[in-house]
Amino acid sequence: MEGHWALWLAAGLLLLTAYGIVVAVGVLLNVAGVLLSLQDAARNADTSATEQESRLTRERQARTYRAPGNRAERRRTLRAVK
Amino acid sequence: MHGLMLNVPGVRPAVVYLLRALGIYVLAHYGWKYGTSNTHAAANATILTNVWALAASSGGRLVVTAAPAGNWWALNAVSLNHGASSLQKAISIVGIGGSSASGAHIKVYGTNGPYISLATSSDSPLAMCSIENLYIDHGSLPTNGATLRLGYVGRFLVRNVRMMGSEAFIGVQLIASASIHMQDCTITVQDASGAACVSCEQTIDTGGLIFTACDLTGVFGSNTTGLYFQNSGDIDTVIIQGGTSLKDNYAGIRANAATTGFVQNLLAVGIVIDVCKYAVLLFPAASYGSWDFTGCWVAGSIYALAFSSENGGSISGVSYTGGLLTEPDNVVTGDTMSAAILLRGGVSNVTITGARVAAASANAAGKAAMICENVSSTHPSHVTVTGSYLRAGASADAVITATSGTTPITVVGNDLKGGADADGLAIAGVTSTGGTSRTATANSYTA
Repeated sequence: MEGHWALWLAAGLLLLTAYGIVVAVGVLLNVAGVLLSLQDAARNADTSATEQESRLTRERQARTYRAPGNRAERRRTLRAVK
Repeated sequence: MHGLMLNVPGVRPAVVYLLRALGIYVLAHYGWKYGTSNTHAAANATILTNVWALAASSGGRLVVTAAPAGNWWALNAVSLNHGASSLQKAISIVGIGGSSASGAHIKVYGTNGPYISLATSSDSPLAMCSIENLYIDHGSLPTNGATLRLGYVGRFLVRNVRMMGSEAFIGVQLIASASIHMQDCTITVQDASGAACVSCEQTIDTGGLIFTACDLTGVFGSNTTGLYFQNSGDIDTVIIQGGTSLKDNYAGIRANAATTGFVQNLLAVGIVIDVCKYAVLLFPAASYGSWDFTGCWVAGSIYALAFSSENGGSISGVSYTGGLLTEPDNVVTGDTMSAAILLRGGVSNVTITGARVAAASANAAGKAAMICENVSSTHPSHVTVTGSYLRAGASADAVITATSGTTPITVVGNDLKGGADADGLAIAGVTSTGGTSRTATANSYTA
């Protein structure tokens, strides 16, 4: 009987440990997940800001080129070059 | 990875405890629910209010996780106050996760704003915190109020916040806030009288508004305003920079003609104001001054820059260096350009340097590039235009017209194009040789 008690105890401890590991993994995943996502979100925001800035700069340059006065000047310039 | 195994007994309390110890409150852990309707809007508002109060004891970040595709976090209007008297708290709202540039989608419900109000009460000041990575839209078009209202908020960052889709009436409303930095935000508003992407309505003297790489967009040919100054308190130091665009508005930047607070020391660098009727419309009731534009694209269907004292205010100190002042690529049907620049009445110390100023298109036929005129007996003064290219509309009388009371005026070293006048100028009492206080010299002119 004494051997059985020890076996049950060992099995119980094993189960408890296994469950503890599951909980620990769950806690680790969730805490780390939130922290990494916060870090990632901050990084994405920085990148996104830079990309938008570049896009708007390109757009502004394109609009400058398309401006009515610029078109006429460009034609004159091209004629002069030819 | 957050959310995985969260329902295993024992995991959630430990996660909540550990994150709370770090000052992080994930709203989903406290009962926030997503969905595809307004079912959870009221409950979510209550939870948000409670978690805000929980965080108020020590500060921290309230985290909104990304909802599955097609879902959102429904929310009724909330006012978030911590009530800790004059103690400034740092409580942020941050979205995380998801594949979109904005972390999480909140849909606010109700037809009357304001919807998300931070620190509306003076006993609940916020500082050194932020609202970030959120996509905020509306369950139905709001009829009034702001989507995001910043009350007693200082040194506050609004970053990567997108308001699109069912558009806001007012995107961001500033009430008593100072030192606000808006970065990488996209705010679109609906076509309604009084609608504005950002409305500055500070009731106390404030300063330090910074806009970086923001897109403030209204509706083409509508009543919207990009940046609307309606402050009764004074605002000092506004910086608009880094590719910020204010497009498709009635006015890109505008002063309310009735509010008495001034806006001084505004610096705009490398911004685009386009497809507006008035790019910059300042007919204030207060003393505006020290506005500087450097390297900007500024285009308006009627006026690009329109400054007037006719509502009792004044504008002193405007410099426009480089860049363009012209008509937009798309002119609102029915609009006729009056000039690129209008200076009317008590407008002084205006310097245009190295800019390209054009009222040149069929839509601007007969129009000067720049007009200086009086309001009653008050004329613009200390006007200087140098090193710029100015072009009048077809068949215009002149490139620059100015009343005889505009003094001193200095027009030197410009390339003037168009206009029937012999030298492109119709500056009353001034010939191309100029005088001591009213000078027009060394300008090249082609008809």
